[in-house]
Amino acid sequence: MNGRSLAWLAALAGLGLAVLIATSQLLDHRIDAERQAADERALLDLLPPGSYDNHPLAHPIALPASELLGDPAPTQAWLATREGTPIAVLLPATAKGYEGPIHLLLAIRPDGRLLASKVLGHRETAGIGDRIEPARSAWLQIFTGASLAGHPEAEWRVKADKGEFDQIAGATITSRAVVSAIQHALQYFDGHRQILLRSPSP
Amino acid sequence: MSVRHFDLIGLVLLLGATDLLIKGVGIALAGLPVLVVFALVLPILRRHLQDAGYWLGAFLLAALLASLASLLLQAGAFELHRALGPYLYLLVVPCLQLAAMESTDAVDGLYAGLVFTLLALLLGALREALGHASLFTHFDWLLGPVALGWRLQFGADGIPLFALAPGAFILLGTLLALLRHLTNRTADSR
Repeated sequence: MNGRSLAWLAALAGLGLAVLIATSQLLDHRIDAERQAADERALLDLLPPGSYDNHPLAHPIALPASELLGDPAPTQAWLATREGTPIAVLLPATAKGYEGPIHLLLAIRPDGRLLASKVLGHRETAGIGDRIEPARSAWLQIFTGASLAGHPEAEWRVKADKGEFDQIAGATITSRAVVSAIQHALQYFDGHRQILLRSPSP
Repeated sequence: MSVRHFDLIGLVLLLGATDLLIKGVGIALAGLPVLVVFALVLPILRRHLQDAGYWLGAFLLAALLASLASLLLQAGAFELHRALGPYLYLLVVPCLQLAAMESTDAVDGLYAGLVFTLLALLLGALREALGHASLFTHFDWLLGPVALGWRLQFGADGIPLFALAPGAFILLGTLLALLRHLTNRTADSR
């Protein structure tokens, strides 16, 4: 490689770098806003639109790591309120899936019943275990309205284990993991009502 | 010029990025302009750089274009960018294939981009239809709330094979065989 080639390459690298930096500077705010909007869409679509009037994501509730939530790291929950009254707590939970952790988000009513749940991320087998995704099947909806009070401990299992909940055919391990993660999260909610339902001081 | 010239290795990223039609659309939206612009600028590199320098320059240019596409997609459709993940950066590979050709002009870039787009859309549509028994899932990633109700579901479940990489191999092979068959026949007929 001669000097002229090197000069050309340096010019190309410099120009490329300049273009990239300029573009990312220009788009920085836009991308941040998009990321925030995407995160909000991903988290808040569990709640019926208009059912809350605060900005839950603006006041995360810090939670220490807990066995019941299945997450080895400290995590956070969010409280949705309407005119100051709590209507739901958004609580993350992690299930030990077949291929790895399944990250769930649960919306729990103040009375301890499950309002809605969704899968935030998973690595389950495409076409089988991925039926936990709302886009793939309605399976996760069988938990809507479920509560610890409504189902005694022995019922918090899949039907294959003589419990109350249907399993996904071919994905019993995935189903078991989700059932137990939801049960544990509800137990966690019961144990931590005070922190979770306390309206954040403005 | 036939499909033969567009070597298969550049299509590998399609295996990872086409399990839903919207992801095929996304990778095509990024791939077409990247390939065209790359082919437009490439002659300048050819004129001034040789051998190792040429390859380094081509790589720099391809990486720059892929990064630009990634930034623009983040600003326009963040969820789609998230879904495509690392596959977007693999657009460097089909670019380097263009660089490997004896000589290139904008038409070659356009041709490569169009083959890439066609295959991305076909694979995306076929894999979503066969693998998930649905179409137009998550078009709101690109078009916003308007497209929320666009999703079509036919039948309860697809054939999982096609949602996975092995099914993508089978479909891509079939599509390429078909394309080759068609282009060869037109070349033979006089």
